Amino acid sequence: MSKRALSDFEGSGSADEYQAAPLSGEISRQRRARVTERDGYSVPRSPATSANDSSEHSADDGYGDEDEDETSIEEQMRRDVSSGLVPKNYVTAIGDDDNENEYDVVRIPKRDLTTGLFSKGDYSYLRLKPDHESRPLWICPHSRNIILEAFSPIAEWAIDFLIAISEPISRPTFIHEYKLTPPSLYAAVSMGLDTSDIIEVLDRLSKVPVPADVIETINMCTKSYGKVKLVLKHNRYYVESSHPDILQHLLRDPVIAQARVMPDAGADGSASKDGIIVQKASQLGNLNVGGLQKKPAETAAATEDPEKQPADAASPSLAAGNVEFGALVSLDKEEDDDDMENIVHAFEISNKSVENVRKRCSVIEFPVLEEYDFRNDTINPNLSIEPKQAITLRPYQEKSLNKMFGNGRARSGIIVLPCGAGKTLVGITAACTIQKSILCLCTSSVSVLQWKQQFLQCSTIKEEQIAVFTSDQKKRFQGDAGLVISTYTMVANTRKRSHESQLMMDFLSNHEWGLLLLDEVHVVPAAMFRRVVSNIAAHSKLGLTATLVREDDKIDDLNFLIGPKLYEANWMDLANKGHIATVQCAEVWCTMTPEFYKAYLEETSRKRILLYVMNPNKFRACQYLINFHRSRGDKTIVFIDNVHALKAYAKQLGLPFICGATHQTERVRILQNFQHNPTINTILLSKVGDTSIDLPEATCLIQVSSHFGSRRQEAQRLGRILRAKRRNDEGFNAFFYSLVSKDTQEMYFSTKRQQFLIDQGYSFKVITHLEGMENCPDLAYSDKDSQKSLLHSVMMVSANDADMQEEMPEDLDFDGKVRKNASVRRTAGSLKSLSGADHMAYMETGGRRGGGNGRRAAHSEAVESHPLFKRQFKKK
Amino acid sequence: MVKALKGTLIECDPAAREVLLKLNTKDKFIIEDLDSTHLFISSTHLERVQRALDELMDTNTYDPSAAQ
Repeated sequence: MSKRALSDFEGSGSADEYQAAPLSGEISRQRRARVTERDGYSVPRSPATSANDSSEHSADDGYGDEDEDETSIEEQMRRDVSSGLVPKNYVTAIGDDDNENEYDVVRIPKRDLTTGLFSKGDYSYLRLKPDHESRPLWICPHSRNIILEAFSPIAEWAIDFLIAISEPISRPTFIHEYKLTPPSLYAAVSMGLDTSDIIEVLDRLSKVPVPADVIETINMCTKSYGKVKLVLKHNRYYVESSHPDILQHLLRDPVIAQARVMPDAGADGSASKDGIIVQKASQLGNLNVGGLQKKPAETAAATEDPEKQPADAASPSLAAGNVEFGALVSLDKEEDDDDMENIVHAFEISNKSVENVRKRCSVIEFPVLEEYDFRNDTINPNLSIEPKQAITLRPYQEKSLNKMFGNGRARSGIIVLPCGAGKTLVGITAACTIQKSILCLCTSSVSVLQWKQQFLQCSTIKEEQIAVFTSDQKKRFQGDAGLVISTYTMVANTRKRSHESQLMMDFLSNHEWGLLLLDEVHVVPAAMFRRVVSNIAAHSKLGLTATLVREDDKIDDLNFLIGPKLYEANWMDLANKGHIATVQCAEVWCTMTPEFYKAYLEETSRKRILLYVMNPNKFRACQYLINFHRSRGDKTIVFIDNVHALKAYAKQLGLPFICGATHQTERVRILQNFQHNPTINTILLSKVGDTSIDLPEATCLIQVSSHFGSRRQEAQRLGRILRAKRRNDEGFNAFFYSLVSKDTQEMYFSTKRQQFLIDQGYSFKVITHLEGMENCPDLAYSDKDSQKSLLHSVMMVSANDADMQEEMPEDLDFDGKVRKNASVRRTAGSLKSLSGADHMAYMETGGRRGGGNGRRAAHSEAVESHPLFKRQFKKK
Repeated sequence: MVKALKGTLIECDPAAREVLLKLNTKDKFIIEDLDSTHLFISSTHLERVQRALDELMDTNTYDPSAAQ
């Protein structure tokens, strides 16, 4: 009785009804009116307009064929425009009845019974080109989305182009969706594409003429790109431009004006080194000739400019001379590789407001360009670091780096690669390209060591040039330039630090960094990032992640804190080429047993989780899958978020498990056993295993319980089996099962969780019935009695424990030993739970009674007497 | 004296039956609980019960297009 299963059926049922409707004239019209009204095209139909209805049909057939339709077409056009179906600017085109250019003509939208279903997404008014079948793209006006037919013979070529100019949204097998965004267009320009190229190629690939507003967007983004730069000099941020009028325009904006820093402080700093003060003075003089009336009083600039705005807007050319220029420091640009004029104007902004200015600038359509011209940077010392000869980049790694260093300068941004696709190597290669001091931040002290190892392995950097800054290691590198690897928490820490780490921190914040490498950027809360970014002065920032999704909207913040998404790899493509494993995903529906479902309906939300996780049918399915894959020779990881359930499963199945409380040595032992011991084929992991645990042996993954609707967790977990060692074997498949209890909230979460992977092109098979499960008599909870006793023990668990989802900060890693020990958790608990009687249902100990039912028997096996008491028993 | 009641035979899976039984505690409409997949309910409540069941199923269904 699942809604999802039924929905198809219902859909076809209602379609039938609509199809049947227009059979007779009068009735059909009424129906039609009703349908359209319901769907928001509430066009009041007076008798007069409804009289036109008969001609509406001919209008549908083809516009412009019959002259007598003229009135009704216009009539309908007007209605469509007023209802927002057709954008206004298209109406002008309708006037040119005999327009020569077939691409300009707009077609009347076909109004049929399905029209209402599409609302704003109805683009049927766009005319198809005569040879549209051979072209692979659809371009939507308004949303600027581009739909690609990935099965087209020229799709591969089109994808290359689209990747260069737009951002991928969704990439299933046959239809891809991309979106034109300003950052993606900026990236395109800096790669060397120009406006006319982009429009021309789009037009060539598109089935419909490129909509006017899309052309406008492309024009706007590409023209304004690169006019304003954000430059870091001597730990101060400057907004630079060779067009003084643009700077004036920016300074008129209240947000930016506030962010600006008094020039005397800034000018002094730069004057001492470059002798710019002279430059500035002369420059000022030149400009002042234009008619500068006011003294350059900065406070006035901030307060008065907004007031002046209306007047300025009216006569921009006049205003150009009027706005004070005193604060504009003019700098002599050293390199003149491009056609820019030699003189650059700049004003300083405070470090803290960099993010705001960046945001504001893109709002007022002068996006700041943040590129680091590391080759011409003579101030910061070079770091001798080269990639080792033996290291070769995979094509997609190269592509992603091309996006970063497209024009010989380093652009800040985020590179998205699936887990196991070699993010570290991309980071190291970027570091080798820039060859300045590098600060690398990762999520945990273990990954710090992993990064260090990788750096030593893949590049020529020497050990003494690497400094590690963690809670137990605070070493500096030797020489002027070097590499520091640390964790986010170390750098963003606001509490009092030890003397040593304070010294180190001062060093970090006083140093000027060529590259800030940010590992797993998606996990770090924005507030922490802000602290890091404002503490550390870095010329360029590179974020690395596999899953740029969060359930909150904090992803957008990253855009301004780090930079736009530079590159996103196509998972399916990598899987096809053998860089990551091919995975078969399946969602297994397990029916709730009536008893459990009854309890589920009666319980509060917290306890419900435990009920649908502990569902006996789910348990059986899990056991069946484990056995099945064991017989195939697979190594299986079972993920269970809920710690109570984890322990119950582990106990019943007799399998090793790792959760947050598991001790470090124990973890290592279990993991090593899993990797090397052929008899241990299955381990159970809680949330701690989601990230940064590297088990290339694992080829099968079963997810029993999970963290609500987190798309990221689903993707990260899938990542555990993507690097499977055997991935290049002929016909090898890794398996990803998600067990879901039917008719519960879990169904909702499960579908939601899958969305990210579906966008990456994965498809989930739904398994409603596991073939051959009835023929396995050895599965647990096969009779009602044992199921009832299981239910009983679940009901005994207090609500607190049922909710035991392991409170763990997201940035805490698999081996988060240090911080784990440092923090004290205070939880409210019942007296029972404090006395440790929490998980206990009444239970027979010792096998003396003989196993009554399956569950008890299992317990009796597990219970073992302490050596101390053994003697006592013997005595008896 | 024979008493006749007009009712509807419902065939459903065990989970739906549990939902109906739960609804029945508030407002009696089940005439006879036949077995684990069959119920006999009063026809006057049919529409209401169907709606309640639909609502419950809706809460367990994620619709990606609605989320956007």
